[in-house]
Amino acid sequence: MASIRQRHTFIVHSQFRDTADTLNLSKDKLTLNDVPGTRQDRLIVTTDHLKERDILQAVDNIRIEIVSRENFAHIAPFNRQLAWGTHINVVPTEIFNWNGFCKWIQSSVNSEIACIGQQSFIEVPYGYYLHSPYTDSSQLLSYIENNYSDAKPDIVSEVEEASTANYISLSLNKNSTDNKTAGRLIAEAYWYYGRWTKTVKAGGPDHRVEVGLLGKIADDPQGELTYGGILAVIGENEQFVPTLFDFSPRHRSVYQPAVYYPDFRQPYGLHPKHLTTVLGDISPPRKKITAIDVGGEDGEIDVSEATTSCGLYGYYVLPNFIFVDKYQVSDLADAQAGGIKRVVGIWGETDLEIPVWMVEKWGSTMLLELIPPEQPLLAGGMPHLDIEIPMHSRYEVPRWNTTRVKHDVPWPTLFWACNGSAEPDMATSPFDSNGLGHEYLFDPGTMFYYLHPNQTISNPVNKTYLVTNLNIPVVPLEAYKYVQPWTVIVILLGCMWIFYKAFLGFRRDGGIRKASGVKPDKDKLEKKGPKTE
Amino acid sequence: MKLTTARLLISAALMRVAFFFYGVYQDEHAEIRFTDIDYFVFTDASKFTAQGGTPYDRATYRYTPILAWLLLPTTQYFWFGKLLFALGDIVAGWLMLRIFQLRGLSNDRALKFASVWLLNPMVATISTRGSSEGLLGAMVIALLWAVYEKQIVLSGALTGYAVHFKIYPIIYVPSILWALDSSPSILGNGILRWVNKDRVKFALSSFMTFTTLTGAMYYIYGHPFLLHTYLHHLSRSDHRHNFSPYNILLYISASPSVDESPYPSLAFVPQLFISGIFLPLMLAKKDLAKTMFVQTFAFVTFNKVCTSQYFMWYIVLLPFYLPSSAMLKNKWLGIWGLILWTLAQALWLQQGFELEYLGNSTFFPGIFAATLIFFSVNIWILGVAIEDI
Repeated sequence: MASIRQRHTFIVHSQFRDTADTLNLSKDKLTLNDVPGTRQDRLIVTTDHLKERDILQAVDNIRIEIVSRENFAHIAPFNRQLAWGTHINVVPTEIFNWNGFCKWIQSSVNSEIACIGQQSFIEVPYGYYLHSPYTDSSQLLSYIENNYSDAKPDIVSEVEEASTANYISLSLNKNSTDNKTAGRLIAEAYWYYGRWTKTVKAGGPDHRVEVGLLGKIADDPQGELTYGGILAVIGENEQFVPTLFDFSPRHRSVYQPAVYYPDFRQPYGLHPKHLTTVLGDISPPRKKITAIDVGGEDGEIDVSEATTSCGLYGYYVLPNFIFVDKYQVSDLADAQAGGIKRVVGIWGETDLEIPVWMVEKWGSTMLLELIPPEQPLLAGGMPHLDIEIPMHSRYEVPRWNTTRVKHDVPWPTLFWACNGSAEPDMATSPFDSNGLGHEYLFDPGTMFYYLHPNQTISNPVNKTYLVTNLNIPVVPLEAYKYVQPWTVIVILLGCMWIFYKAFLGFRRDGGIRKASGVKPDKDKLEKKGPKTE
Repeated sequence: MKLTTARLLISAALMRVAFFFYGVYQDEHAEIRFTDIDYFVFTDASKFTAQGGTPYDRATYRYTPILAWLLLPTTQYFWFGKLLFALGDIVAGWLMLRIFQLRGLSNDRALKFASVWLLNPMVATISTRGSSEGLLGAMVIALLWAVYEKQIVLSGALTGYAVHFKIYPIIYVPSILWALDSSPSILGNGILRWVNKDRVKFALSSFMTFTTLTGAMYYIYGHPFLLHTYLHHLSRSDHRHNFSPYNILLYISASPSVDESPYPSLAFVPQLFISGIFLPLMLAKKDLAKTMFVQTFAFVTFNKVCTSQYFMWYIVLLPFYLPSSAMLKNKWLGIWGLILWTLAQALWLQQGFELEYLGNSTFFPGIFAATLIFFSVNIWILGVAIEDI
């Protein structure tokens, strides 16, 4: 197996025609000229190409993803959805230098990411996770460039192109069951659309370069996808090879029109209620399926019923200025209120009292199973689901010249997760995306169907983002020059008033000595008993 | 209908029963719950304890484990805690009447003043919502009653128990010690004459009760007990908005935007000096019960954190102050006192509502001014009461 494998996949429209103008394949290179379509690039290398060996050798599994802020389309088969920002998921080995890891993140991924040590990460069932709102991929791309440049000299131009990608990831999984990628570093970039003009050169003896132009041929919502098109291994094939293959995708978008839109109920103060409205055909994407197995030992037909069950889930990524009270959310789940069926988990910083400046972790994540609405029997009814989660904002850092801090809260990801006894092997898909992330919160073999965020795709004229605005009221620092002295003055005046009044009473009664003598108590008519009355 | 002890106590009980059932209704049907969030903290802590864990498994449980133990029946009967707290109210009221008798107040007047506590809707609400202040009130009245009954050792034990429960009753120790004048000295003449039998009994019994309880809890629950029950309250910089005049200063000072102000850490000084040293020395020998009232009022007024539950701490002692109070003799003084105290809170609550539910930054000047105004009203009332004693 080649130690470097490079793959460019273009998903093109069925009208696309391969002509000499658009594609030109020769012995040692392929030229594309203004080919419109979705593009995914993948680079898989062995770790001996890495210059810096320590950090990535000390992890069992790592996945770093940068998702662009502007809303983009997830074109099949790249339907996996993820909140914008930088995601760092890691499964460290036993002895792990967290400090060193943070330094590596700041030098190789993005220097703006707040990372001090293990305390900056949140512990999730599969490892540790850090989310940051920064989306600048230039440092990560430089890291890739620096480490791969001796192996692949024209990495520079690839890296330049990747700076416009909607999604970039870098991952390494030593324990992967896929022996094509286990222990290898995988860099991936995805653009949802472009008109591609580029030259792809052949690699070398140890460097395989593959280009595919594919289109969807068939799509069975309950089963497999069929893709077909042309492939070429540059340097090996002098002509394109036609291809047709089936596979089961792990991630899909729901076929029915089901959209969602989150917002905070207005008005809100320190306890915003997060409301996500889901509209459309909110029915499970997979039905019960029957598997027929022909040919037991005596050629008998064995009819077994396989079952697939689907649950509707909401996955929330909450930066630390906002949080949920796990007791409150559990109570809602117990009452099946707010659209919540059960709380699968809440991970990260869940302290109910501390202000934002005392929080070490970046925030928290929450996975909820939701209650799909009963589908109406009559056509024309519009089922909808309202998911209402009570949230709370943390006290913000006081600052100059403002009484409000503006924050961006990522949209939750809503999806159906389906699995059952007869799920196919999805790892055979050439487009499988199965790494650290929300997939690992479910059983292996789970298929995901994402609902559509109700937001237009961003374009240079009208930029759109999957964010919900949150304003947190804060005390302006200008107040301090009054608050400090006036608090002290009023307290001191209060003390003095107390001393003065006590003195008045003291003087009236002739001092302490007199008071301790036997004297009539002011509230009763006759004295009686001990002096302590 | 003539007010008798039995009728008063029964009315107080019925009132609490009515509030309790109303609470059950509101919990089921309204968006805002009647039951206090603290009650869920206590009952969860009891549940974790019953399951073999510790009460500190429940986040924000900041009390002695004894409370979780007392509420263990809530795992079966959720309402048990509220019953216990409401009963605490009634016991406090009944012991209050006994104290009035020992002080020689006529039964009619005693019943009237005890109703300030027993028939007070604010008090009944707090207990039936599930706040533990009623239990604490019973402890404070009980320790005072024991002093009046000359049961010094019992009084010391109850004081030790109360301090273990809530820390602040420690301010009563100097008052009681100072007031216990009447028994023979055990250390001869001169200055040491001050050390008399009663004082020694009280000091020893309260100290031993406190250390035994605290030691036992530490032995069972270790460091989390110390951390949550005591250390948290001492180092607490609760900047979330509340009635305390230090509130906004604490918020800004605790933040990284400014160098930490030296003043909040000094806040203990006026508070403890006034409530723990000055007032006991000046007033305890004149009238112990009234002194305890103004001490508690001063403690709450000067505290770094103040929520409406804290008012219970001094309202339980208010009936002792009232009988010869200038605020009753001069009706307008009393009426204005009550009006201003209520209005100042209403002002704060209005600013607090704007912040919490409408998102307007009312921290400054709104909440800041409201806390200073409330503080000033309290100081004025406190001044009147102190001069009165």
